[in-house]
Amino acid sequence: MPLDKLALRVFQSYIGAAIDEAAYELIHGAYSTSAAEAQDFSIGLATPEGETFVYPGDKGTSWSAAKNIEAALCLIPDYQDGDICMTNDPYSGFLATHTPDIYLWKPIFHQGDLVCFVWSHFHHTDVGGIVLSSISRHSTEIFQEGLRIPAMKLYKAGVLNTDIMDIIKTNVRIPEQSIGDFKAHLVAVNSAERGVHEIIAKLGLYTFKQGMLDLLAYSEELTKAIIAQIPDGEYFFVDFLDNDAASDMPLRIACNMKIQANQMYLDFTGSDPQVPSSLNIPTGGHGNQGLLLVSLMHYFKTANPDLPLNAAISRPIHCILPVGTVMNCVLPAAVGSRSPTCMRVFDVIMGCLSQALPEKIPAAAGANVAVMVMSYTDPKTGKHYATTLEPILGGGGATPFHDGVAANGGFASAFLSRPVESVEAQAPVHVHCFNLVSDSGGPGKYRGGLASLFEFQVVEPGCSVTIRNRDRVKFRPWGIQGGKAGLPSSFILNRGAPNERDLGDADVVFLERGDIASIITPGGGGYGNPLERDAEAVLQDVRCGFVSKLGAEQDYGVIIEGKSINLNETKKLRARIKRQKEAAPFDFGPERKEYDAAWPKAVYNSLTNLLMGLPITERYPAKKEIYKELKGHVVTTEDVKSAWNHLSLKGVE
Amino acid sequence: MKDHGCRLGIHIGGTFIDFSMLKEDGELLSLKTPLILSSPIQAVATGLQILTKKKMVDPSAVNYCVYGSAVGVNTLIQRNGAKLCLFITEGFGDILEIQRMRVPVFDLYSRRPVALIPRDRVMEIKERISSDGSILTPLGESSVTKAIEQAIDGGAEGIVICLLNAHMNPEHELKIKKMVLKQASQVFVCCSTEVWPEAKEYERAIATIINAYIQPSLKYYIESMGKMLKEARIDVVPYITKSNGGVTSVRRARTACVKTLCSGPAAGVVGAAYVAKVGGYKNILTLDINSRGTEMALVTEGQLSYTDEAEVGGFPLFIPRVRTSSICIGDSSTVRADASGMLNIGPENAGADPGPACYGLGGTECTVTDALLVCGLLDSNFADGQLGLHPNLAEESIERLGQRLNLHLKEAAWAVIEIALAELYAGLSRLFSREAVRPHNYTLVAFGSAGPLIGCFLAEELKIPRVLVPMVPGTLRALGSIVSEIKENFTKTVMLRLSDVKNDQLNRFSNELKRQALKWLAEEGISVSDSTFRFSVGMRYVGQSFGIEVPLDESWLTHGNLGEISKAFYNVSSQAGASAIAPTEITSIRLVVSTYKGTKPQLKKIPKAVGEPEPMAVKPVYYRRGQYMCKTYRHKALSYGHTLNGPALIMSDGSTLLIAGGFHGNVDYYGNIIVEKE
Repeated sequence: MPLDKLALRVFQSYIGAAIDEAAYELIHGAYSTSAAEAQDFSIGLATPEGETFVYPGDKGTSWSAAKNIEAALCLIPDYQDGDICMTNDPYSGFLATHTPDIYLWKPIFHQGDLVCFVWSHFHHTDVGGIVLSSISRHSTEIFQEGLRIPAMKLYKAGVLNTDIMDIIKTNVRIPEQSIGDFKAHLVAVNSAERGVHEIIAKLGLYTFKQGMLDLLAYSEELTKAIIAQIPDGEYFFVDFLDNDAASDMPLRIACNMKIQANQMYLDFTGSDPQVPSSLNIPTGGHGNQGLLLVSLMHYFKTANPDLPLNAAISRPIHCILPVGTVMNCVLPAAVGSRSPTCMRVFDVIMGCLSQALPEKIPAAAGANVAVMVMSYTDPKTGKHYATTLEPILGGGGATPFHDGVAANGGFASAFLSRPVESVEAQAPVHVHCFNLVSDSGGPGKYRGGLASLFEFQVVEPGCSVTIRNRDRVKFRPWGIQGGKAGLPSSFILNRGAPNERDLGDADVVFLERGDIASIITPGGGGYGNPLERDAEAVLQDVRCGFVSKLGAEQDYGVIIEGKSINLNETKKLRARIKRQKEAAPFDFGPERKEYDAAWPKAVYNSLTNLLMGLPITERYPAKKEIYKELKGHVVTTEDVKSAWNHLSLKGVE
Repeated sequence: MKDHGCRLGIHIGGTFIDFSMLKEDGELLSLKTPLILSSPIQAVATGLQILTKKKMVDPSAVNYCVYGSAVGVNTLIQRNGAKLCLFITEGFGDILEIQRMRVPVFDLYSRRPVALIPRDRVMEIKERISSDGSILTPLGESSVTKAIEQAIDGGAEGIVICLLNAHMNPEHELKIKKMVLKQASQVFVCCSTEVWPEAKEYERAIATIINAYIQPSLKYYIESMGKMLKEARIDVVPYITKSNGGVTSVRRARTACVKTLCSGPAAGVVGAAYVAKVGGYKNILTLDINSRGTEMALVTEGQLSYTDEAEVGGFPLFIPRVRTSSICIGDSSTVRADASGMLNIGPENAGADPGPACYGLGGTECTVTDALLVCGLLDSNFADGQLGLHPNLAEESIERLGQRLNLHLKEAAWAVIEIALAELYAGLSRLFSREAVRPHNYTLVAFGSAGPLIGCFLAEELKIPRVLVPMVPGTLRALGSIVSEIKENFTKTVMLRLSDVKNDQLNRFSNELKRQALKWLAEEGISVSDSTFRFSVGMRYVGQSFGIEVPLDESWLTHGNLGEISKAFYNVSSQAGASAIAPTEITSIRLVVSTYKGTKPQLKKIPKAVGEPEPMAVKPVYYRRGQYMCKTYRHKALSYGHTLNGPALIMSDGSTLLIAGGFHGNVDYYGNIIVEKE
């Protein structure tokens, strides 16, 4: 029988505090900075069936809150008290989604009775493989992404398997750091277990077991109520990554969202075949794995802040994830850089939602969730170190009510920048600038959040930086309801000097002593017609340097003379621009416009349809060939068909 | 200063003003009066009149006066502080917009708090100091001159200077300050290195900005208080409470405003530790429930714990303060139920205006106070009868809640308290597990307006063996302020690997700090021999982001005893969960100086009981889903040795103690009631 709401509320307080405490222990005990500054960890409690029923309120990666861990749980045939299981292999139960995320899970028994599981991941700085940090978007197979630990017991009935620890120490680049982080990780897992026992002692086993089921049911009920508020219908949206990291072909994510009463269907058919780079998302076909649902979680939680985030929010959501696409890759696809792809998935889902709820959904954020890591040799000890320089985040999308947040958008809210003073005390760099970029936010009635510029000079030889997950160097964060797209991202070496180099979306760069690197993140998209922006707000933006005088004139139709607005001229100019332009629901920027013109939606769909008929390993080579043949013109369905036929003639089976 | 005399403490909270007076003979007087938001100083004057008249004290007998107030926090939250400009190193002018990037999670519309200084009043200065303190780019004086002109043109009242790596070398900041004072005598200047010279540019900038932002309102307030006190014939230089659990003369507080921001909770912990020590308890958990929220702290072996992490008005504050954990559930927290009957308390708060429904000031939303009143746990003649509560309004608000929850009036009221208890239990149990100590070795010191009402229940849940309720639970923060020491913190950022320490380097650094401390003591007019000097270092493994504070013996620094220093670090850090895996570094050396002004205050013992205590009345009270007939007593009428069996209610100024059935309370020599389970 369900608990009464009062008893459930008490259970929720207790269990919430227990998991918050475990998260606190992890953050404060960890050796590396990723937990504290990037919140790159998770810890939750799941039912014996694998549904997460509690997750920290404001700590840890946001996407893990709704995680269902059933597939991984099933890989261990027998659980005993004192076991701690582990995996980092994306293809073992689809728990880990790339190799640096080491997952632990521990069964929690009460008098021989399995009550629940605590599970947790910690993003390790390195687990071996082709590059330091183990993630390069150019990895072509998972075998290049470091040590893969299949689901196994690290502790068996309380006894540590030291062999596996030795294997790990041997395979990672910075073993001291990994071991330090492991210790904190284990402390946190055990803390959660202790918390569970305390609550059982307090409320009784029945209340605990019923409480976790009721909490899930409660979240499901609230989620359904939110979905029911979305107008029934189908909403289709497509967005691209700039390229697939193995070629210059853009990588397409497509989604058809169907709302039917209180159920939501997400069909990702039309997304590109898996790629020979590490941009693939290992979902195993499970939409309930959490990774895909971040933007929905944000929407749900915005619609009802009291909604407890747990796995039950995915109960009314049904995903179709075609096998062999980037949305559901198979071995041996590399997956290290699945983050930028996920970011685009979030954008696509927001794009669908925005059609259903135009008055509620913000424009696209400059969704970079990249962390710049520098590796260097300590001149005093000769030892190698890796340290975070700064998170590289784009500006937030403008909302229907206000300007986008500067230098943080795209579901990376929890990221904390590092004090430049700490960076400089540690890494051999002088930071020249960590500021915002004028005119980078998409113009709109509400302006997109500004991008940031991080510029530093290297002062020791032999350094390299890794910046995973950058994107939106080409295709811009879109604006909506008449709002314009934000500016794209850039990465320039020695700006303005004779040896200037455009590094594009490079993710690993070796730097000489004296090199100056400048990274500009993407700006957020704007919301609403920029001509409707309050001229005073434009003036204040100019005063603050957020918008240039030229930008004020060209984007907003506001003429600023000296320190004030020329009201007359502004009125005239705004009227003139208004006549010229018609507002579209989405503004993707010129690059995307050009690409869409070359590859109309229906034509692209026909290509994807044909490719899906091939065996998985042959889809990408076929796509590449067809592309090559059709490059440079506006493509029609007939062109695709004829290129396809040529392909068959060339013997691709 | 006379060696003996009356000590007066005043705490101005968000809803009430607390007075505490310790007379020459050790007699303790107290009073709680409602705060009048429009004229707080007038409210203090009125309270003071009531206190002195009613208790027949000659105000001129007051020879030591301390007060604390929320004026700094209020200025920050209401955003009505000084008009400022920020001068910052070139390339970092957007620091107040970026705010270390983070925004609240899971909210599509989430934003950062609006910066205290808008971007168009932030000026970039050409200069650069490197992380070791050497000068990379010399100060561009023309950029400073231009910035000063701009600041004056813009009508700035004050200028804040925060330069990158200035904590390693304050030269440029001080140079700019000189230039400002010369060029623009009408503005005031705050340098980041003069506020708290530690690493983290955003935190240092914010601390300095807040310091300047609240300076005019604090100054005005200090002047008004001074005038008012003089008019009340209290003619002493007053002291003001600080976040570090100490006090400072008001003269200094004007320029170190930011150090007073968290003083309220700190004074509560100091007061609790004081009464507990007098009562013979060294390990305590403090539970301070007031209208805005709940503050909790652990005091182990009589030692307060400190931290340099806090958040005020959405901004981080890295100035040392007494470590308290807060939960935003207070008496005035509002309560709501969703469609399915899930109950939530806070984080919204009805505050002082309109306040809980039962205040009758127009508030209709149900609050914790309304629930307590409906349960019969509050005297409707609250705060010595100065604030009449309206039970009918409380009932109306709870009735509405009950309809959503499908509960009867009193059940619904108790449900609110039960949820509050669950949240507090959860918070407190986290505190114990974090500090790795066991509740059964601790005494719960319950105070504030509602702490003593639920102390019994919480202690029972947490398996804490006893609850101590001080004689003046409603005004303990005010008592805390008069028993606080005069205290100041000093810091020197060094960023030094232990393996790189040379000869007498640590000795030189500690001497530098000591020189600053001696200068401060001289300015405060305090003799060195009466003062305590406590050194510590901030240490961490190289590459870690969190440091821990390691207390040190001064001689380890003077003799450069690195062995003892590492040993101390390992001892503290293994407790904090880290492991010996990498080289260690000292980030900063810190010094705390403290002393009592005059003689240590002493409480008088209360008379021994003759016979049983006389109850004032018997009234029905509802708790734990049951109705009980409760004897009521007045706390101050009790004597040493009295035993009170639950259920009983003991009233004092602005606070009520509930001794639930199955518990009994014993009154000790100092009027504290020790409540234990039968």
